[in-house]
Amino acid sequence: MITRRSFLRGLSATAVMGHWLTSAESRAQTGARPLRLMMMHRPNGTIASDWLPNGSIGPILQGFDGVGGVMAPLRGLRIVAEPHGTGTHEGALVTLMTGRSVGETRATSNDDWRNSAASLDQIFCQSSPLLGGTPTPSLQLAAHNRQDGNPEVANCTLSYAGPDQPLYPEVDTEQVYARLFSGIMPGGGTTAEQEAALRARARRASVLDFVTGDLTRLRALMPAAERDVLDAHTEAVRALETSLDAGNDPVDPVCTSPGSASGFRDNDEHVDVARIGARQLDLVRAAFQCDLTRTVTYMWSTSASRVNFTDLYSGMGRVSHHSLSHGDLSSAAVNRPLAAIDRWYADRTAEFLRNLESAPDIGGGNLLERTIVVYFSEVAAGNHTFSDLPVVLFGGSQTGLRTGAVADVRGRTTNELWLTLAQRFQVPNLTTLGTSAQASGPIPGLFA
Amino acid sequence: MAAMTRITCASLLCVALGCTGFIDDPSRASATVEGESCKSELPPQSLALLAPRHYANAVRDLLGVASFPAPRNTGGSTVSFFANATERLTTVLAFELKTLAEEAGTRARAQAASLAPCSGDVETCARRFIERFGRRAFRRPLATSEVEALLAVYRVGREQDGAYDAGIGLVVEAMLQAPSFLYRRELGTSAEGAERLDAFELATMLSFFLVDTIPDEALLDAAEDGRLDDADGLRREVERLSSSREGRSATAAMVLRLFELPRLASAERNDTAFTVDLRASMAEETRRFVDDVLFERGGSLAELLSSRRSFVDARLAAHYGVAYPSGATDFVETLLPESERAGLLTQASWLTAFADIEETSVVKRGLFMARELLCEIIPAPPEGVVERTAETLAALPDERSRAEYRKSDGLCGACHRSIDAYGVLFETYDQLGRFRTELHGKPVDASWDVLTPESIAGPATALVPVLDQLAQAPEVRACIATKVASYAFGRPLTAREACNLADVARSFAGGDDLTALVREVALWPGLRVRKGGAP
Repeated sequence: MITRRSFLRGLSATAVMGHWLTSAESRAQTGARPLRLMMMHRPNGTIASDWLPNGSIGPILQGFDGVGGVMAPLRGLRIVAEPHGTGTHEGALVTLMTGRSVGETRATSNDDWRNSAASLDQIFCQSSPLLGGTPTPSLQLAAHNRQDGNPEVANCTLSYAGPDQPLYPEVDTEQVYARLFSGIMPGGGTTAEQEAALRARARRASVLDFVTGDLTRLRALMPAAERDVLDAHTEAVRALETSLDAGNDPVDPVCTSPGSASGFRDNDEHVDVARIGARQLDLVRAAFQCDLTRTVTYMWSTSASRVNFTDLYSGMGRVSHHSLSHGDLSSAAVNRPLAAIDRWYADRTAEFLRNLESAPDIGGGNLLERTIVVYFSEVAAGNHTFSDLPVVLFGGSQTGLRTGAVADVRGRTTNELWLTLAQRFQVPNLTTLGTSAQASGPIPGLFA
Repeated sequence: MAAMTRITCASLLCVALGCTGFIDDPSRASATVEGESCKSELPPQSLALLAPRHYANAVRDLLGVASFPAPRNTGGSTVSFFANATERLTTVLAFELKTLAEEAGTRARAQAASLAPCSGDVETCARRFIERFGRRAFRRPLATSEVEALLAVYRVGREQDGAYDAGIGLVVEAMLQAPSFLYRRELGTSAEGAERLDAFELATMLSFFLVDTIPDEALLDAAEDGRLDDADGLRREVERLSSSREGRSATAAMVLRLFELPRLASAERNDTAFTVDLRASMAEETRRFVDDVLFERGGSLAELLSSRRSFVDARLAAHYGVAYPSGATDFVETLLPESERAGLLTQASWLTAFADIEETSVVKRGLFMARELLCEIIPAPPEGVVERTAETLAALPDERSRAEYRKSDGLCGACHRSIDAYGVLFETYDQLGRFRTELHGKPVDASWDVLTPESIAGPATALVPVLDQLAQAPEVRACIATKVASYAFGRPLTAREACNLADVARSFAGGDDLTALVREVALWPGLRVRKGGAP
């Protein structure tokens, strides 16, 4: 009897298709359990007195009460002191995610710093044996990315494939859904559905044959130095096909399609961010259950976010987040709404963590047990300070994270946090990052 | 001599600052004003992803539909003057382009009867469609092997879905995902130590420049017949395209992008007066003004930068404090106050686009003038200076005080002395472009020493007379000429590349007509030449 999978493989004439089937089979055979990394950003820092007052849990962090057992807040972590670029939301975010000095700014803005190295999440997913091998190597998502006037890359991006190669997060949830799940047929689908899928597949294979031929023809015409553009094109198409193919390969009974939703619409109001964010994070939950990816970067909004918040408490009115964060932080008229906003992000994030906790994982347990979430902001507070970043690590029982207490890491850097995570994810050859002043080594005691 | 002095001054500061650095580096990224020499370099061969709008317009024209969506996952600035924000395909963009191509394929299938009419042998019809549609999509005739490969795609589409139109739809889907469609190719063929774009590459470049979309059939015919290699033939095509309705609208759009007016659409200003309607009125005023200058006033740059004439509706009339005729309902032509307004840079649209959320921005406005209108090379702030000054600057009460602080600080002042001069002159316009004489209960002092360009340097007390002078300044003309040429390339030209433009710049310095400048750039022989590359 011909299994559906081998029948599909027989159809896939193009080289791009074989890869995922093989790797999925080998993963199925070795029975390796997933471990996942999620970098979750929320904008504009916090209000220190409501975050970790004197090193104890403040009202904002109480938003995580329901998942407090998996929480490790960090006290005193700082972004590595870089002469260039930090001092701005944009530069700080680039430095934090890449662990390196920023490059030049883009021509369109003096704050739009280019990155000079790949972001660490990308290095991790390419070289960690625990993160690699999934059909979609990594996901970049956001719940809001609208910017004022002259949009900047550095404001709206966490992940970079290489120097000046931003991987923009996708905001349109239904595009994300289609890319990840459109091929998944619960229970393998009816015969008619399978036949339709096979016809679609034959069409796709013929399109890809033509595209591949065109790439080859064009490549031969290019000067050697210019070929990398086409190589990147080839790689992106290959990665996409691998990702799309995954839907045809039933992984595990816990893997189900989250279902399509109605049309996507974004806006600058906090209710819209809540709605889009909830959908994005549900797609992440489903992608984890299908083991489609193990590395995610997620932005609630851009750095220096312009999201408007209305009446989070009685009498608050409507405020624009970034604009307000540059006010007098010692005034209650400013710090009270800002604290309420950061609590709002904490509550939404806690809801996601609870959803991970109630979702069964492949091979038993729940998703949160094998997921590490780094919840952070690009600044400590609205006045652009970077020495005590509001960062929390979350990780369930199988992650080895020491939870339940505040970790005093005063003086340690974000680069050192990356080195610590590199150890946990068994990333080879990542023992230094930046200069020795920026990272002396992993932070001891965070993981068991 | 004047130029020598400037270079020496600049280099003293620059050595100290580590900014641009060397004596023979220019201070402007524009073609030089008459008399100066510069080092030149040919532009390199290139392969660039289509700009989102070029993609959308191309599919629109290929399918003959009213409009088609542009890809969104291209990142970067949507307001950039230049077309090519994205350099590489990402997986997310690949998926979006696949989805868009499928949508185009579905539409093509639905209208196969008009796109690929067929009354005889379907295979013959499909071949004819592939050759014609393919030439337009790839902006060159297809090789026989490509036609055969696309026929194979057609057959799969027909067999899988059992119909001719399904095959046509799949061919469209395949072509729109092929690099030959998705990339703008400027490779050329070797000639006399350089590369010379072939007629189809030139046609593509001209078409994106002049009409913002792929070449039409007539332009491709001209390329195929060798007419673009002939000066008269080329001139005829450039005239035809630039004077067409599409050409006029593309030129107007270029001018709006040159002034970065797309910023207005997403500008956020913490001011209840800034309603959706007011924003729309602001944009409409400038759109009408630019059309009027380009096509009714001889394309005059001087008018663009210093005209008192403009167009207002009731809402804008109140905003500017000018009379609006009773009984009128739409935009009317009006004269704005002589001493308060001069040209596009004093219109509410531009002044609002270049401001901050709560107040004006001396740096945003000044930087635009220095970089975009005078083509000065302004480096990013030196290391550490932003952190060192952020708190002090934030604590100062207004933008003028901040400019004064930067002037007094050696490191900041080196660059900000020239940037802030223009920014401060704009202080008589608030963050919504309303004219003001008072701020925080005190008279606004917008006076400053203008340092550049040399042709108008000196003390200034108000913006309007300075704009009147800039409207005639040779440095501005040279810069605009360079910008328009850069627009044709879809990317900023380096100072050395701009150096090749001396003839175009000189000609525009002696003239005033922006539409003539567009045609001159289109006919400029340098447009076709690229640096020789090893195969």
